[in-house]
Amino acid sequence: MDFIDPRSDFRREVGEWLDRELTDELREEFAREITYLRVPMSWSSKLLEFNRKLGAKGWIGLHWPKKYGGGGKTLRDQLVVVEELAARYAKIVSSQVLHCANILLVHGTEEQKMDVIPRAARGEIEVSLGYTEPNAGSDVANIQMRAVDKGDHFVISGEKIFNTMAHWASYHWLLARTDPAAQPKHRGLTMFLVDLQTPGITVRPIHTIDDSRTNMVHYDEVKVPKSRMVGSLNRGFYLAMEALGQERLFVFNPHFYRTLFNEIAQYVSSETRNGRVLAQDPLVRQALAEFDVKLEVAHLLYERVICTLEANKPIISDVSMFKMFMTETGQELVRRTLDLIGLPGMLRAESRRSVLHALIADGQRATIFHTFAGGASELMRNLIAIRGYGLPASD
Amino acid sequence: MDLNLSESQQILGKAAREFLAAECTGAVVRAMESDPAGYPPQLWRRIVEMGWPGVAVPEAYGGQGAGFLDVLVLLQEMGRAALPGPFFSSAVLASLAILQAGSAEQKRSLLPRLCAGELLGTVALSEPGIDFGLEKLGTSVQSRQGRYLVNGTKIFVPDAHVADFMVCIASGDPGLSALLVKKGSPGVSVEPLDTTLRDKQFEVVLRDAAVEPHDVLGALGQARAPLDAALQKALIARCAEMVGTGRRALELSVEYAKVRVQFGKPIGTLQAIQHHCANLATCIETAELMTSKAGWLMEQGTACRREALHAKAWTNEACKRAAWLAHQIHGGMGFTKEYDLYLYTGRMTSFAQLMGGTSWCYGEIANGLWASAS
Repeated sequence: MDFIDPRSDFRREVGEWLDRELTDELREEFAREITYLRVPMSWSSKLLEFNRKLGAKGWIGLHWPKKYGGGGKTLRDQLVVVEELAARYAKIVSSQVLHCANILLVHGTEEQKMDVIPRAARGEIEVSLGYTEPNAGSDVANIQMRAVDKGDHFVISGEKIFNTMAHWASYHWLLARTDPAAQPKHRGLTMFLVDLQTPGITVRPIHTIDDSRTNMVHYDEVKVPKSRMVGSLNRGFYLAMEALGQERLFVFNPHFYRTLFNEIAQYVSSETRNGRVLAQDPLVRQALAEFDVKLEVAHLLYERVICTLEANKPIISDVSMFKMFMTETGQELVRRTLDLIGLPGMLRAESRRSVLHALIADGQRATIFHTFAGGASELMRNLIAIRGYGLPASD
Repeated sequence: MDLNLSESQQILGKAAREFLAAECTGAVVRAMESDPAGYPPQLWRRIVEMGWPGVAVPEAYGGQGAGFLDVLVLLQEMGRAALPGPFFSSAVLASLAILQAGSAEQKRSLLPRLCAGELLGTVALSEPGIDFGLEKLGTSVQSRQGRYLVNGTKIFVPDAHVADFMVCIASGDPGLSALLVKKGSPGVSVEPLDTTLRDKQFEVVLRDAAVEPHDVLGALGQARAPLDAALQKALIARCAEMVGTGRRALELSVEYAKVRVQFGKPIGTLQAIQHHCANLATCIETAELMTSKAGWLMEQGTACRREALHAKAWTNEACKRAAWLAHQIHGGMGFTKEYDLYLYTGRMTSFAQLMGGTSWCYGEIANGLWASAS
């Protein structure tokens, strides 16, 4: 047993570089628009340039083979970059492509890999995940969007919803139905890598309550060449599930909440409410001590998933527990902190009286989707019970 | 980073689990609730023969010289079996106090006998109004004609009825002292406290109880730092025992959910029950992670006060929630004394209050967060 950070040198290197490169302007844009996994209508050119700089450093796709422009290192190395960014409220803007590239590396054709992965590693392209449909949310197997085999190409029609990043991404990572008669239903799905500029695709905005944007993506008889099918026919569901576990580590990173917690602890030591310094209020002390503990719990659950991945063991129960615990703790942190710090915690970043980069204010709404997106907490609990502890699946 | 126990630790745990599963059954634990001693002497003898009380005591003092994690491995298995007896009071509390605070001579004379089971010790710390910690203790020690007189009331002194001596923590000039008070000393009364757990806890009243100078652990008034270190270890040790107890409650609950049939199917097919099981599992798995981290840091000799407090606060809350969930999953059957569940849930909730309740831990954590503002 040991709890030593095996990448402390690299972590320092990344941290020092980020401290230099993340200007106040960039930090502000990240905090204002992108924390809590929000996606803005558009990004500043400086932010996109920063993303390309990350790519130029070789810090996107560190765990991919060098042949495809990756770093030839391990997942843990890549996560160091993700963590150090998260600790500064930042992220790899093109982060969904990480998920797709991991699948492509195992199941993609050589042509697909060479086309996508090197550009992803340079931070130049993003991919939008096209799984969810109006009638297929947590129930991914119920996907109806139809892909009909026409020999050298497929013709695809139907509608996707909540496809984050589709207004900026180059590609659509599409799961569509190739066998309408398949039983069970998830055996009739196939994965495609679709150029979002293909005629017949319409991307429309959905404005969300956290002042952010996601999309409807409509396919009207879209012709997709067969060379864009990823993996085997009717195996798409398995491909998607394979990489979802890892993705949850990238998406909900405990380092973000640790930094936020530290800033809250700092804030309460100087601010007063009802005539006394907040940090002298026993209720504030007790509540923040509790979160200090809970964030450490979340962190250890996170580290455990990495260790399980490195040992090549099944991660589904561990990663479900982490995702559920992290997102529920994050929600609770911003909700209870608002009550501790009071009215200033309701002001948006534009207000001259806003506090803590408005992260407590924004977090009230922005964290709502964390407990259902990317696998609802209820589903996470089912997976822990069924896959982790062998309880019988219900019908 | 590696979250697995070493091979030798795994072997130790497996051996302990098998031994206790055979020798410390639910029937044994239940019978000890009304037993005057509170544990079967022959079982304790065998535990001593296996060397468990000295597992982490240095070889120079009659122990096996293994690391702190080995103690945690054993305690987790003891928790799983709800083992009654003086292991925690004597082999953990008293041994740690002597190891940390005692002089070389005191260690040489006491520790080998504690390891060999020839002596039992305990620690008298809590007082009416002071659950845990070393602050504001009311028990006092004064110098009188070449000896020391101790006055005060201690509560929740574990296993005082069988302990040959207790390490009594008292304040005085110039500071905290740890004093060996021998069984049957004049001026010392020992009365049982009737706990809900029916474990062996006592109230000890000291009225001018005399202690010879050579029975002061280390130097008079110099015990704070060593006791702080001893209590930190004891706090993590208690977590390990709680984790084991929780593991058993989790196993029982999952097993029950698989076999109990209602509405024509196992209740484990119902998502409401599955979610209770998932929450229960989360409680226990996270408590184990937190305990492992604190235990590992402690074994490395790294400062880990914050992590120890984190572990105890979390293990307390996790075990209390887990106990409730386990009962909710079991329904009526778990509420009977015929069924073993209460043996574990009772310990999970009671241990959460011993060696640092959650509020106390939070208070200490907060003092660390705002060291200058407290």
